Amino acid sequence: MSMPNVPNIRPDIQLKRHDVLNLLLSSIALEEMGLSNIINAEGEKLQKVIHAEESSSKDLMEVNESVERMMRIIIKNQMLLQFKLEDVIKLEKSSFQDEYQDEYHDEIHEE
Amino acid sequence: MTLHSSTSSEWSAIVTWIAREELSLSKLVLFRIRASSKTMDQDDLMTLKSMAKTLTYGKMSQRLVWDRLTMISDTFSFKSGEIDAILLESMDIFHQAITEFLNLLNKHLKSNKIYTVENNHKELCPNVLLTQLLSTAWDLLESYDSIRFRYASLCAGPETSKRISSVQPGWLVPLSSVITLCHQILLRHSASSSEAFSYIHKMRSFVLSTTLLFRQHSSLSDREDRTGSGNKEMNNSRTKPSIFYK
Repeated sequence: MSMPNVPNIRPDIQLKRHDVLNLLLSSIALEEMGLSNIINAEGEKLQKVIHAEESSSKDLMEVNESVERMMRIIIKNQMLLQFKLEDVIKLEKSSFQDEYQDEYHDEIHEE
Repeated sequence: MTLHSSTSSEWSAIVTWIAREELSLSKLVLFRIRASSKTMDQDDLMTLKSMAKTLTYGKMSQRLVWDRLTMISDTFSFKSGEIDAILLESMDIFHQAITEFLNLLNKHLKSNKIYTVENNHKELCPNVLLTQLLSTAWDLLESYDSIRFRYASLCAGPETSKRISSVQPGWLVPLSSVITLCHQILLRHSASSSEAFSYIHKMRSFVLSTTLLFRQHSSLSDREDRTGSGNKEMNNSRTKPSIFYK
């Protein structure tokens, strides 16, 4: 079986471990922001039913169904975010330990 | 272990948005309960059933939010006034949601409809709906109890965590009324739902332990005021919630 060809990507992406961590954290923050806004929007949908002058229980059921569907998707996303967050915390800890060990070895070497 | 200092702004952004998620969830729960109150007179069984389902999703989502917040707080210190303000507002809204839910339940239990359902076999049996509603009420209490004890490790100002953990909730009175009414209805209909009776028993224990806890807390605070010492035990976020003392 032949090995796949890796395309020659230009320009070169030069990221240090620390930059990668920051980018990962930023992506989590953006996802959290998105989820927060979606939940808020679902709340606003329900508020429409509350403020509507004449809203029947049928209207509420329709809105509720849509809110429930969205909540299920939100919960799935929250679980994925939790796993992502766990991995990033682990990565951050290991990179911190590596940095600390490197600094320690450098000091010993200088002495 | 403290994490890399240059990533602190990213961590703060994450925590702020998770806290905002918690606030949005509390609002969603409150609005769902209010929407049910509005359409309750038209079709109370369907309204209550669908509300119970949505609140279950709300609980699941809230649980995930707090798991993430606790996970971060174990490795990274993110205390800030902004997060305190968001969490405090969320707790106030959640209190309001529990109060309105219990008032709605009281209204439903006091209405004559609950007594006529059993005779009509096409409708839902009262103990099935009652069990579902009691389960939802218990979910709300459980969320409140588990969240309350996590605030201490998350809030920056001791005043904020003290306010959350030491102010006795105003909904204990409607909760007691719901427990009594449910018990009476179940007995009157000779309902044999052991699950419903188990919720009633758990809620009674909750009311008792919460009242005792706040009484103890207020007497401790009085002593603290006199001696000037802090209550170390209450500041520990790992203190088991009273809900687990059985």
